[in-house]
Amino acid sequence: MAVLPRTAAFIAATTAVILAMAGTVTYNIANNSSNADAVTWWVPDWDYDTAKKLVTAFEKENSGATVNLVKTTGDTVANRTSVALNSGDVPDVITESTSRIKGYARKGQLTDLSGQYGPATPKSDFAPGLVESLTDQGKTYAVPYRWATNALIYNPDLFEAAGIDSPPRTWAEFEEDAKRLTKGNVVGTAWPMQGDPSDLTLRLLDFAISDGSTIKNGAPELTEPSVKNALDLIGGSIRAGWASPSSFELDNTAIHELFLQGRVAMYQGGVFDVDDAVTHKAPIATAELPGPNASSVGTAQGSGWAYIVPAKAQHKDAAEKLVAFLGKPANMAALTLTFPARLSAFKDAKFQTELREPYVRQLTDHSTPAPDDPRWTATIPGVHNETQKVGLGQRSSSAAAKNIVAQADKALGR
Amino acid sequence: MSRRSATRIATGFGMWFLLAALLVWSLGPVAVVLFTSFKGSSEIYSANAHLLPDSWTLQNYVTVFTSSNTLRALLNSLIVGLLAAIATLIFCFSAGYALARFRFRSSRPLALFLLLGQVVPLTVVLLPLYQIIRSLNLLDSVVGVAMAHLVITVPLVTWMMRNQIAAVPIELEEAAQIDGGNRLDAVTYITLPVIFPGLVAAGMFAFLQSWHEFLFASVLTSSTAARTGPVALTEFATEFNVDWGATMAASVVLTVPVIILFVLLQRHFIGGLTGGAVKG
Repeated sequence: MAVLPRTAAFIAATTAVILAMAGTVTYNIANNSSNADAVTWWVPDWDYDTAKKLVTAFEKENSGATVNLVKTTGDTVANRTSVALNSGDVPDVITESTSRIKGYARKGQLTDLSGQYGPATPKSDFAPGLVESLTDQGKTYAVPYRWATNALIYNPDLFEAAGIDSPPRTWAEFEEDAKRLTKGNVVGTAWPMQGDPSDLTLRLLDFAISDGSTIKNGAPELTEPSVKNALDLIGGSIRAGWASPSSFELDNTAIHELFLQGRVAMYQGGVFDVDDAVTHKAPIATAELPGPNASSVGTAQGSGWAYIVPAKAQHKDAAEKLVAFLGKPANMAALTLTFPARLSAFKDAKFQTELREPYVRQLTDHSTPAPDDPRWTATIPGVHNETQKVGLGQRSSSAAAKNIVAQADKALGR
Repeated sequence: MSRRSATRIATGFGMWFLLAALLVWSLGPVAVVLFTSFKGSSEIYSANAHLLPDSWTLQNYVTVFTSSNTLRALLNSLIVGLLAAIATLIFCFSAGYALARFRFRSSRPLALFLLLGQVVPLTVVLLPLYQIIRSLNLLDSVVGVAMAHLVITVPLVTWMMRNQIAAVPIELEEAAQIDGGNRLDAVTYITLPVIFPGLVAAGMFAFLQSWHEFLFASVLTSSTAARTGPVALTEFATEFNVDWGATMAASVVLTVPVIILFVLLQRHFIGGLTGGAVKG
């Protein structure tokens, strides 16, 4: 029986599509075009351009070595790294957030990089506690290359107009200054209550660890009084009006923009904000974080990025050689806009500006690595929620502190 | 004015008010995205925010077109969406036809089982899917992403197709076969034309699911050669800040083609969604 035209066309189109798909798959399987000898390095897009230059220098220094750079983005790197490590299909070097490294290490997914440290790269040359935070059961699983903490950013013009001649050094001064600065369109400070919950939790924890809470083995040991005082500062300031009521709608970027507009007088921010304010020619000055009393400076949590080599990397030796190259102070300095992880790399002129000095002191003398225990990370939304409730007046600081400590203790198995 | 007229006017007013509220609810965010894309960064974060820009700027679009990979991502999204839609239609029409026309012992449980694919969280299937795509050597390719998206589209579209086909009386196909055609002729000359609006609707559904999918695309792609629109939007977020103006402009650029497609095909889309609704 003859095939009718429309049926023939239908069969032909369907067959063509199926053959095209089958052909594509077969072709790809048969022609694996990847460079099997190259070291593959996953690098975030903000580091990509500098990384390219460093790779060129590395390849020149190590004849025969080839590095294949693959770009990741801040929003995708965690998922991609996790899937790659779980599947076993891994690159040789990954630039990852220090906060996630211990989780991978505890699953046995990373290469022990303890051998990277020695006379040329002493552990003591890194920011306080940094190498220890990447060490689990005596093995260090990463080489950090950039590190940063928050410090106090303030608008000197607004301070002068309010008759304040120096930045606050204690929490009481912080509150008093903020109240004096809150006038018209200007508020004393603001908190990032919208956006990533870890941004607000970081600030809460900065206050708490300045006042008695501690961080041990990547997990916070919270005390109720210190958390209550921290909640009083954040939540109480909104209710009292000296922190912006719009904090509930602000993330880090928004607070920085309001600061540039002269509407927020001071806030806890990173050095990247400082550079941006200088670019915008906005009035800006910096200071270390205020402490709970006159005899103490506030403690800031450090966070940053590090190089890891997956346990199943195909070119481990070459990967470790690349990591050693990237770990040199000059290369660390080249690959960061914040601060390098090694203190000796601070000598680079770009870290020696007047506005960066308080950050250097904060980082070297009054900082501690942020908690990286995955069980704590899981409690962050709950902590954020309790803090918001205090800001909204739906929960007292005491009750919220009790809940936060209970949540943390439960999650951490205490 | 009679009481009935007053009731009718009040009902009409209430209906229009409800529709207006729904319109604002659904189009409000789109308007914010559109107008924010024409604002400078200082205005985006202005304390006294307005919907319309005080001073209009094209700077965000300049950033999108000159300093980002949005256009390449747009092309990738189109290719991935079309591939996913075409493959979905081929697979799902075949499966749907079998489920609707052939009576076998487990046909109904099998149809219900297919829907389970819709309730499994994507993160659960992410790892095995990654390994399959890797074993096919299709990582970082538009074909690989399109194949991954079939996991999302196939279950529901198969169900849609089954209901569409079941709504077409089998007697029509039998008449075609009595006239000398075989079963395939009956399908191409009778069933396919009758369910055409349903096919278009299913194709659009598959395309849209693929268009806005983020998780698979973010994990399966590693270069701009295969990165789709939703993943490309993350390029405007750096480690410390987000360029919301450029993000909004890129969102507009990535949304316009879909809106145009939807407007062109909306007649079929609405017809296809209601087709087969009364007989399954």
